[in-house]
Amino acid sequence: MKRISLMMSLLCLAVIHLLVLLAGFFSSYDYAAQNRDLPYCPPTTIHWVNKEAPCSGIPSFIVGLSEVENFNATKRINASPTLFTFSSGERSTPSAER
Amino acid sequence: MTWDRHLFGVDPPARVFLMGSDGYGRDLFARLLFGGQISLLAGLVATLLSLTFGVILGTLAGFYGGWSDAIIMRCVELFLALPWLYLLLAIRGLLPLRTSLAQAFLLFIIVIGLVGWARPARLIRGVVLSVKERKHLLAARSFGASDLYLVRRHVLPEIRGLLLTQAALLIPQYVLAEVTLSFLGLGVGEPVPSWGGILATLQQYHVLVSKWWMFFPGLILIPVILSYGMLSNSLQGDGPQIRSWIE
Repeated sequence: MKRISLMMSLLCLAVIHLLVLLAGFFSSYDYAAQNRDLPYCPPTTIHWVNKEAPCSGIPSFIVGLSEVENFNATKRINASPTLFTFSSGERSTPSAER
Repeated sequence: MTWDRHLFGVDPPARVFLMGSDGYGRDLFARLLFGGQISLLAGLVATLLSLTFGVILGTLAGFYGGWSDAIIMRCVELFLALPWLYLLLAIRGLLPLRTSLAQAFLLFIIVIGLVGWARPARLIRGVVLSVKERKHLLAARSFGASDLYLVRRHVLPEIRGLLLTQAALLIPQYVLAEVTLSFLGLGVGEPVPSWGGILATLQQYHVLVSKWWMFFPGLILIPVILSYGMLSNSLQGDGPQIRSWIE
């Protein structure tokens, strides 16, 4: 039992430390990249299945931005279906965006 | 470290915020992961510092005894009695308001680490006191072994298990200390994230009551602290068996 709890704790710590160590790879953006038009945006809804066009050939993992109350809902953006593919992220600094 | 490739992403102008965004529209998931680098590193380095001081002073006190033991133990009592949060606030208050990231980070690692040496030192002193009376150590001394040799060969291996357990206890404690300090605005400055720094946004009432995703950095602390707690329990419970397995 002690061995199991030890293994569980070591596994959990290893996962957390790995995520933190490879933060640049696991996160899509730089930590300082600002989007002033999207303040306090709630977590993006992930649509695991493409309900609109199941036979379109588009992979099942599709991301769409949920409707957000806090920013302009009329400018709702449909995200491109590129989740879980490698894409080079934009790198911008706060000073560059000002 | 900068990365050209990412695990996932969407084509601009769309944005994907797995954990939402903060007041400046910055990706909270990215800030959570990068903030972990600061918070966890602070915990690890401060623990290393504490244990280093604890080993040196605890071994000196236990091995030599006499006046050195008396002085070090009085210092231990003094440091254990210090309200560390107020001490940190006072030390931070003495420094200039605008300090660089490296300076601020080093400063609070050093302060946290130095304040926390007392408890491990007292435990190590107790172990050293019992080890130095053992017969094999007395025999080695009678053969002319130096103090340094005795400490390196016979004393340090005995406290290795204790150090592992102490490390597992101290790391989450120091991570929490970093979170507390950053929450109070004494940690690394913006835009560099840390878990406490991200949580500091919750000091604003409208964020606290309506932006539930801003609690994510607080939630990540739960598995970290639970895992370290379980680890220290396992190291204490099964004692030498698991410790030797890890070593």
